[in-house]
Amino acid sequence: MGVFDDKKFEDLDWISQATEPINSRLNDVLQSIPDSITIDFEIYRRVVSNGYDLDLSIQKIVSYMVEQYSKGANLAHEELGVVDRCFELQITGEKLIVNFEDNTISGGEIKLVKINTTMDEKVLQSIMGKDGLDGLIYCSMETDGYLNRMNEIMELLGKCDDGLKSRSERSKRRQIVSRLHTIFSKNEWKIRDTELANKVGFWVKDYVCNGNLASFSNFCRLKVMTHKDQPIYSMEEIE
Amino acid sequence: MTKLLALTQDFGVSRPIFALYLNDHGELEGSTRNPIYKYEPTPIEGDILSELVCECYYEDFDHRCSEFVIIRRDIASKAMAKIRAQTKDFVEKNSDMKSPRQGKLYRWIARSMPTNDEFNDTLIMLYLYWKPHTGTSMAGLRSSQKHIENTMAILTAMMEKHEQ
Repeated sequence: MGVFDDKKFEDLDWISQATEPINSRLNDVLQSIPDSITIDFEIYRRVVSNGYDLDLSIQKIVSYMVEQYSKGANLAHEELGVVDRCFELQITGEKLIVNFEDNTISGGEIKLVKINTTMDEKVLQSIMGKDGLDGLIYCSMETDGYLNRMNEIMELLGKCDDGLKSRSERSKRRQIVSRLHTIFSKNEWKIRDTELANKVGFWVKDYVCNGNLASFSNFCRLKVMTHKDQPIYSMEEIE
Repeated sequence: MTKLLALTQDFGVSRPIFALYLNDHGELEGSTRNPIYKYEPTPIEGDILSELVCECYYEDFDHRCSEFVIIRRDIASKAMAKIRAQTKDFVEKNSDMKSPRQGKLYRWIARSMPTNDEFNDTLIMLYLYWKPHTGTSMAGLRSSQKHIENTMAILTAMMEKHEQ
């Protein structure tokens, strides 16, 4: 296997190669959660135990369910927001009473019901690379030579003339983030894997902030792979 | 503070039973501030300290043990803070000065009045002396000139003693 080969893409069946669906771990997370879950007192107590109120929102329940059924998934805020949209709360009964003395919920039933079994491609495209970009926005530049490293990244990204001309670290950072955002939203690099897209931001951050050459090498490899003009699902990384 | 703390001893807590309501976003809302069986402390009739402590009653829902808890010391401290604030207002409203806030006594109460338990106990005794003879209105505050004059004199003496 060559350095620039995409093993995941080659392993796909012909129909997947033809339709190029976005690969995301969010689909695995979604499938790990049952289609319908009755929220009993014990689940309710655990869900609200971390908050200050007794509100039972879909966000809270889904976040709890992801922890229960997909341990170690460690989803970013944006990703959790996308999973939330695949569920709804179904409530029966007029007046729900939660009793912490008897450990019961009476007067009705609360259910979390899955309304989508797979993630919408458009939704996945919208969060492509976002987690990695957030890391890049909030990182601190502490090592010497970060301006040069930012210029190198911008040259590889292309269409970053304003950032290259500027001397400001903030402008350069903004330019990199904005350019990567355009690349992902317009699918310029044809990355079809959300985790791989997130890694781009992390690699850039790691190289710019810490001068990590392995991260730079991974970024360059990915850039070379984009020249084939084929969908990219995976690449061989250097640790 | 001993008197205030003693008044909190009989306080109970609300039962941890709540109603959940469906909001417009299809989510359930519940508030720990509104349990179905809410505990309301009853003050001892005619006891102004008891009324004050009951006003300061505060309970909090502890998610770890799933029940309401009260911190008696906090309630007593809150009541004490109210006594200090009311003493300050009393001086402001009954001072002979044009700008009472510029007065030595007012400034001492606002900034340097001691906060130890012994001093607080004295302040509570003084509060019990002047409070029944005043109202919240300006007219009420001026209703008992003798008590007002005595209180102002006692506070001035306390200030002079502590300044030494």
